[in-house]
Amino acid sequence: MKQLLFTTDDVPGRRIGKALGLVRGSSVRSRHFGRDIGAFFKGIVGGELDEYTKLLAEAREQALDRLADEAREMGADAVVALRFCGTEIAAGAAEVLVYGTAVTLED
Amino acid sequence: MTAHPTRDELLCMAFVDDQLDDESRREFALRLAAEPELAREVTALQRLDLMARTAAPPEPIELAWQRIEAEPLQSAGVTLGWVATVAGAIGLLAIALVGFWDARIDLWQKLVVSLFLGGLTLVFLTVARRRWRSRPFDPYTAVKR
Repeated sequence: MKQLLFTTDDVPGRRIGKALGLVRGSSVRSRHFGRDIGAFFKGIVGGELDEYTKLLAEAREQALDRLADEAREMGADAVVALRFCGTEIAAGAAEVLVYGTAVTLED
Repeated sequence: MTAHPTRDELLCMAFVDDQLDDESRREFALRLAAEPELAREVTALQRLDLMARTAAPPEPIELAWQRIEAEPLQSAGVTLGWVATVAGAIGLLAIALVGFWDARIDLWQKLVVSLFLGGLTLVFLTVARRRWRSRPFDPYTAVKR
């Protein structure tokens, strides 16, 4: 069963059984050089750099899947207090870190 | 995928939907490491799952981008621009290489520089090969926004 992911500290309508601990997922991704050139020119004229919007979305979804995998390994039903953060390791790369608390839910 | 999925296809679906028990999951993960076809099937299902999760109605600006990119002037300009850029880059590289070999420096110095550049090229090609061959197993390229 896929884990439920919540940014809230509890799960509305459900009671938390046990807190299993911290779970996290991270991802650092980059586009290829050609896309960087396209983004460079778009940066000159303005508007959305959709190459990087897609890049960030890819990193976000991969990090979320890694967090969910870790929660599954721990036997969690849900992850609460989910948070995202990002930083920059390399120019033109997106790093997304997502973390939260894995919990079990009571029926 | 056929109308009547095989046992392996069903296992792939169960794996992606997290419906396998721990032991079956471990066994399947071992098979994934050894069977590229199975890994490709799992990636295709993960890609579908991601598309369903991230699907969003098109925004007006996206429709405008698609319209503009479909215009012959725009697409021809982009294609011509890239062809000219790549051809020019190859030409510049050739000029630099010819100039380097004609330079009045010792042969051993030319060999050292060539070794360095050749090594860098080899490393780049192996990194590119790794990416090229692993790309079919990267479902996240399907995410749009």
